Amino acid sequence: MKNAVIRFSDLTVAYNGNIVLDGISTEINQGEFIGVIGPNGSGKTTLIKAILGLVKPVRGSVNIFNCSCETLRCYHLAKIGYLPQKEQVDPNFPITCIEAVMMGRYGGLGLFKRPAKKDWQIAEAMLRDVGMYGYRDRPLGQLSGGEHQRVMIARALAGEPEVLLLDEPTTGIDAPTQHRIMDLIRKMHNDMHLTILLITHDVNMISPFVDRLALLKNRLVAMGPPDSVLNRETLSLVYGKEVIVMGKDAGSYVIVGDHHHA
Amino acid sequence: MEFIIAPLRYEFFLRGLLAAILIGSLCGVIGVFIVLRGMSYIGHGLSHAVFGGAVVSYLMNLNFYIGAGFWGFISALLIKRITKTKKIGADAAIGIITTASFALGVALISRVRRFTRNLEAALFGNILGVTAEDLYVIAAVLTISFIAIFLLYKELLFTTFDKETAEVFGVDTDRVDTFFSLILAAAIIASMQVIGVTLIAAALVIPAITARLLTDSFHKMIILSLLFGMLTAIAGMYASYYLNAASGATIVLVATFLFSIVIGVTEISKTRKKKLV
Repeated sequence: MKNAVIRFSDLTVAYNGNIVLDGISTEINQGEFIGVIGPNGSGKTTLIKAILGLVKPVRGSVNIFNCSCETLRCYHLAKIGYLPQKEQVDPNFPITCIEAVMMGRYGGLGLFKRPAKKDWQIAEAMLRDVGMYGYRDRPLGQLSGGEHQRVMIARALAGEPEVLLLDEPTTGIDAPTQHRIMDLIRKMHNDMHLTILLITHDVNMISPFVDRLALLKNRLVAMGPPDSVLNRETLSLVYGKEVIVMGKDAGSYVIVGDHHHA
Repeated sequence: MEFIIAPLRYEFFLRGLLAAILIGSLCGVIGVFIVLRGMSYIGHGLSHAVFGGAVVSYLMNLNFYIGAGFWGFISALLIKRITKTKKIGADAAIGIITTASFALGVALISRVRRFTRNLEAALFGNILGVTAEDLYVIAAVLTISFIAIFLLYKELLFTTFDKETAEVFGVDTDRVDTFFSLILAAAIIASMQVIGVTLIAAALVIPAITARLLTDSFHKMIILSLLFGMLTAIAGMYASYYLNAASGATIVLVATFLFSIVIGVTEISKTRKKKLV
């Protein structure tokens, strides 16, 4: 029996009267790895922000852990790990890697409480898991893009979440590092039985890793196993006619006309 | 030794020195958050806004601290509210609120001649004017601020580093922001007498950026900034005594001098390192 962790019902979100998400209805089951794809401006980030309760729906709702995302309490938020888009933080902020990872535990600690020995141990374990333990006391500003992203993944995991929301974790990082980060996320998914929602514009990079793909263009155009989504008919609904799908069987390669230049 | 002890024989100097040390430490610590949150302009603006409140409370025979405090807090909230309209940026909102408030203060004061002396003190700081009551207020603001920053350290750090993610991780960032505005307003009001409205921004920013050049760790930056704020206050006070110059301006100049040395040394060692590689 499958257990829905996140449930969208007719979720509709608008910014200044422009509808960004339109009538999204679907369920994400416990332990699933979902890739969210779609062109720029298709509402991918807004989908995550709606789950986190950062934007309010104008119609419909989204629930996580059977609780409306508009009224999430610390107790629920502590079970969600979140990796924001890379541009959101100042990479030169004076802080060490371990301090940055520890922030992931702040929500669960509560007001006025300081991290205890156990919290430091968990933060250290997360740094070790992402292969960054040797950088424990390095300032964040000295890291490369890929290393920075690993530390941020460790931060997202430090609260020991059940659900992990990742917004473009591999954008702006060189290809070999991209693959190492994706391998890392897959390993975390398997080891910690996490439910993962990963946003990306890179259709080919994500397909081998996920259970299901959600194709978004303000509406939920398609949702299903990669093979059922990555075909010419479905993709051209979103990307227009300039879609090339190479290779019919497993591991089809897709070229779309919307490339992100980050 | 005589050089150091001589001025201490005057009670006004001793009181001024104490006030300067406390304010140097307070502004040093708060300045770290100001600099890292990109709020330097808010510090500058808020101090000008408070000036309006100070004049109004003087004319209405209200207690200076209560009047200016209320005014400063309202200004901070107004700035926040205007920024929410999205069509107006934070910098413009600060520009409107604080300059208008400052202008009101100047306009009111220009009608009352006998106030000119106090006007100069409020604008540029006057160490001779520090009373025992001022010292108590400064000490109270410092104690409360430091305890609050200690207790809310992790929330402040997370909000400063990455506000949106902090919110996601369960930090009430709106409340943290309001609380910080309160502390900032209190610190500015407490500093007005010694540093002067027009120079407070420098006292907030310079120790913090000097510390930033020397460390990549958040808590070390706070400690260094506190030390720099304190030391430049002491050195500035002595310089002001012997050069017979305004105390606020001298403290700021000493801090700037220290900053120049630090940035010179760190930049030179950086280019040397590059050449070696």
